Amino acid sequence: MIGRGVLASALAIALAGPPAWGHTFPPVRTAVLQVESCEVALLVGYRPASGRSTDALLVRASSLPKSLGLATLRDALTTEALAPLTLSVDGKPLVPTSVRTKLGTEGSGQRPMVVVLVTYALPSGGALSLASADARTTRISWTDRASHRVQISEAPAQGRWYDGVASFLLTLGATGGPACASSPSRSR
Amino acid sequence: MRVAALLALVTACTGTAAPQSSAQRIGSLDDAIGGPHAIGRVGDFLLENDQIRVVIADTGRAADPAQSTFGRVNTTYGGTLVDADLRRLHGSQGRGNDQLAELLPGFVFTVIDPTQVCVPNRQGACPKAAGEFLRDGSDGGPAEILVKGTGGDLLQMVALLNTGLVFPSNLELSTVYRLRPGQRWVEIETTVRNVSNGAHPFPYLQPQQIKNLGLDIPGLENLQLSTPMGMLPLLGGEQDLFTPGVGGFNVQYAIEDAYKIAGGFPGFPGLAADFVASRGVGVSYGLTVPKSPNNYIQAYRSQYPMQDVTDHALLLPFTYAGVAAVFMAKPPDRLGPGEEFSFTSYFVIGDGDVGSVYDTILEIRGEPTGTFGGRVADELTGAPVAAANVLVFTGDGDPLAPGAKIVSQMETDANGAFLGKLPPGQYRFIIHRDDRVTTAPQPFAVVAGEATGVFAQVAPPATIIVAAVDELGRHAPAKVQLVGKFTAPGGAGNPPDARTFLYSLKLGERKRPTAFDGGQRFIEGAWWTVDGRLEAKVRPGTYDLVVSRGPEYEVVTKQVTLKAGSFVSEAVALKRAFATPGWVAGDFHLHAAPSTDSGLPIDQRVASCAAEGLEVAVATDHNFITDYAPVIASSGLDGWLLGIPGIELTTFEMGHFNAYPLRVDPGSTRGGEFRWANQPPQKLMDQLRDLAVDKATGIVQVNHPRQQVLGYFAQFFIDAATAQPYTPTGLLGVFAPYGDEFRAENFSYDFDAIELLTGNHFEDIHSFRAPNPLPPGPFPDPQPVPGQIVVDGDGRAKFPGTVETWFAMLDRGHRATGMGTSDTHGLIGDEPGYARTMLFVGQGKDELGAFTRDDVITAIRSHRAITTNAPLLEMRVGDKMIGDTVVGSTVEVEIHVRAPSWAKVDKVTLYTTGGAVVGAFDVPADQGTDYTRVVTVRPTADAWVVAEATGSGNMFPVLTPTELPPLDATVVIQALSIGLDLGSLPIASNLKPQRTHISTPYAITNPIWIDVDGNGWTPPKPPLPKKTAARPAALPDIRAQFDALPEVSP
Repeated sequence: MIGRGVLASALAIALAGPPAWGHTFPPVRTAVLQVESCEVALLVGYRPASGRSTDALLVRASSLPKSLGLATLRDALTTEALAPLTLSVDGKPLVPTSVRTKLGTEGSGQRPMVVVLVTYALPSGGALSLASADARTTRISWTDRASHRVQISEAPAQGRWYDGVASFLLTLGATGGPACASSPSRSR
Repeated sequence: MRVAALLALVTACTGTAAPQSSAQRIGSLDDAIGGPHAIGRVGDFLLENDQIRVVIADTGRAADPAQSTFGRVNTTYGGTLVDADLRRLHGSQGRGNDQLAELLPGFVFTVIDPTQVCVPNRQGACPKAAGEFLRDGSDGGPAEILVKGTGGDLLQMVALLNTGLVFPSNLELSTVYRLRPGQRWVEIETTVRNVSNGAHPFPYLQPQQIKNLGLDIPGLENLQLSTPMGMLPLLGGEQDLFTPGVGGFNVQYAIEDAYKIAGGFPGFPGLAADFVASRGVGVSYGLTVPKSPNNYIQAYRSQYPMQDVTDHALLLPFTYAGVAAVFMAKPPDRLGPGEEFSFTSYFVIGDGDVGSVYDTILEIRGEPTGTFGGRVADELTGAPVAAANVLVFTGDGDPLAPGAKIVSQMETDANGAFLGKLPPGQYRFIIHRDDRVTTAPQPFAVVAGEATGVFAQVAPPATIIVAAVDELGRHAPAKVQLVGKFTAPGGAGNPPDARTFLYSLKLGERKRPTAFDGGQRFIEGAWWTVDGRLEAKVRPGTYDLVVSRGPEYEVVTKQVTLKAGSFVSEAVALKRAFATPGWVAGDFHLHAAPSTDSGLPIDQRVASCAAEGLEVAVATDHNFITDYAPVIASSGLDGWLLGIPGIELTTFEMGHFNAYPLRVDPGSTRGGEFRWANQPPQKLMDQLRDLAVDKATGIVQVNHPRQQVLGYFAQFFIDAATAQPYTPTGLLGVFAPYGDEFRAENFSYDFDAIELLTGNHFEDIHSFRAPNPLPPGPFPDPQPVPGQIVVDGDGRAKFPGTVETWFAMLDRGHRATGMGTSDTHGLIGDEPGYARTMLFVGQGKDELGAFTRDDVITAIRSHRAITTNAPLLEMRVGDKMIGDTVVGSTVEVEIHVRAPSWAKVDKVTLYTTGGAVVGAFDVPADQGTDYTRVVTVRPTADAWVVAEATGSGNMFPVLTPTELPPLDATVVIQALSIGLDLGSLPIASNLKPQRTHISTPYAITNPIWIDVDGNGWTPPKPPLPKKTAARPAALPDIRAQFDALPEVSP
């Protein structure tokens, strides 16, 4: 029950929900960690703060040729989305094997947003950690996709949002890592 | 070219550009209106000109649920007019003053389920391609929004009427909202089109045909029916509804009076009115129709004897909780294939008074008018009197007589000035403000095209200044009241009907509650202060000054004489009635301005909670997640009151459910996203848990479960003896909702708490017993037995009690915590904290700052709760308390009740399994404030015990009585059923609970469970059927989710 539609609807609400009028809003970042047998996928949704810096970014992007402007906007927002996040195993940061970004705007068209899918190879280890340097604006959720890597009994509930967490920790089991060492990331 | 541009610039700068209207889809919330009830959002449609702005909701069928308008706040379908305001100087960017809840066309009670909402093209249809010329006002003409769809039931319970009278399956329904430049009204053209291959008669079915469908209502075959069409305005809690004539601001009771003189079908019963308007702060609304041969009430003129039926007459069949029906048009007897019928109405927006709406209505009608204006000043100081009501009556007779006809109401501005249009004629006016003596009627005449001016003086008010401190010398929040004495004139009844002599609802005066006990006391004014300090203007007189601070304090009373133009100051020291170590008082059902049917600002709500001694206030607005915390902080009440965000998920017919503590989504125009329409109960509860701060611990509470139409248990026909739903038969079945979501197997027990006492609804606590002696009959079979529960033909309680149902659940192991709440929507006569829930949060923790929100939730989940409207009723077994389980086959249950002297108890009852009474004990008169009783209980099997305390004294003036019969939706059903024999329906019975009464002390505990043999507590009766727990759905693959996301080019 916990997970029914939570991911989709929470993403939609967090990313597409229009702001109430007359207010400015901080950035919103959602991070969903999906643990698989050999990889970890991280889906990050990000809507930047309303205000001058976002306006300036939009102005800069709109002043460029369209394709260049989109690329500029995509790159800038992807950087902002991922900047505070660090995924590590036993304290050692993981290096992305792929990064894909989709760009959009909220309903009012005034604030851009991005959804970034980052994949990592999952080495063996004891603890998988997703740290956020900006915990105040980050919501973290996780799901296990038949990975047999995470000690589920010790893990936080899946499909539920955790607010204000600076370091989200999952305990890994002994299996996995080495056998997957050469598995490439799925490409789409 | 440059000259033209310069000319255009000059024209724009000098403001002489011709006004325009426009229609467009809202692309940003900054384009929306804003205000207390603004729910317009991106994707809806904005219709505006230089005078007014309105929002029409989109279809509500967006693919993205977060953007859905389906079942947004008030009604089920989209396509309705949801926001309306004047154009304001600083009112752009969503900072307006929308107070309208909703306005929608109604075909009896069929509404439009829209398939399309658009700015139409020149042909009046929704555009099929980009680039079409649209009726968007850009050509200087009117701007339009078109809503087109099929028929949907606003209320399933009256589906019979919709089907039989309208038969919407054959019809295409549409509405055009049209706005011209410079006008303060929206023209609404509503059309029904027969899309079938055959003729479509109105009414579609004859009574005998309806009966043949199996809807066997005695008397139905003898009726002639009709098919009224019109509008359903939900004007909002801030707005006072007004009709000219005998109604004035007393529309609800004027309608009920009209029922008594109804001529019967085919004319639906109700109040005839020339127009409908409202009064509010800064904005007001109105409805009128043009002269038409299809005017509904004119078509059945003879069915409305003794009522003024004008060429523009409207029929108001009911108004309830801010929802009204306004029937306007009678369709032709039949529509041939492809034929259509249209009727027009005008929705008017005013400045805040009726007069500004009436000005526009007279403009629409093009009738000759003169102006009436003037200034109102204080007769002592000469200072202008602002916000005074200038009430205009027809020239004949005494304006204060019951049959007097009111014409309009104008409000003075900050300079005491007022101005309005009136048709030529002779009038009288009076000036009223709640803090001053109403002036004597003054005659005046209005001549067409001429101005009539007056200078009026009103007597000055008196000033009362109060400073109250608590037992520690703190300026604590407290309630201050002035209680006067009246002399009722002959014929006012016993208890006297205060509306006939003490105040006038018709004039828009506030209610002045009386003691309702044959005494002569009434409340002139009441103020809920944040710090015990008050300075207020009041009507001069001699009063008892009464200061209180909830049930834990005694009231302090002093007599004061307040003279016009002078002031009196009093210092008051409050005295604690009893200590409540470890217990905190909470109200878990509170409404304020975000609720459609409450106009109370949040700052007044939190002040009232604190002044009534509450320590926890849970915001539960209708379909709106509210957080009181910011207002509590800005009011300086953080040392007294803890706010918890919550909601009252409000369905039309499935009941109301509170949930708390919830997350507040600032990105939503209703604080969070959810769907309440057409959902089975489990889905409602799942959504509420998803909205909770912590899904595992959030509370879902069933509100007023036994209230007809609005109560979950009532709507699912929960048997009080088994706590399980049954399928009603006979007439009850006819009026039962039909949707799949109402199937008995969909009833869910997935709730954590139940309201045992809601407000002053004492009649819903226990199953109704026949009085002894019985009132005059006859009664339907089975014949009632004095003193016994009144039963229906199937042996079930006719008016089942909430407590009996709760007992049945306890027997079966379902441990929902019993709660007391107020469900307050206002203040005087609707006080917060009565009832309330006392929660044990732990020894030494009952000070704000010492307990947390989690402590409150833990106490509810641990059942450490007492429902009460004053007495503190504790129950212990040894060192175990309420909510605990004790082991033993012989237990000594200690009951200890304490109460303030204004709420003495006189009876204590101990219940056990099956609702059996272990003992009922009369409390000696001198122990009514502190009484202890030990009862030995020897259960033979696992059991529970619950204690109850009652008193018979009147808690006035701390808690007011229920003087006026509360209107509920059953009255609507009754009114619409005149001519039918509904004698077998409980609501139609002449033997039913008394709904007007004084307020008396009441408290009931949650259980102590007794485990007889120490092997764990086993329910004494078979457990309730559990729904098959839904298997957790597989969490979606985020890679697939990512791939499915569209990429929108910015």
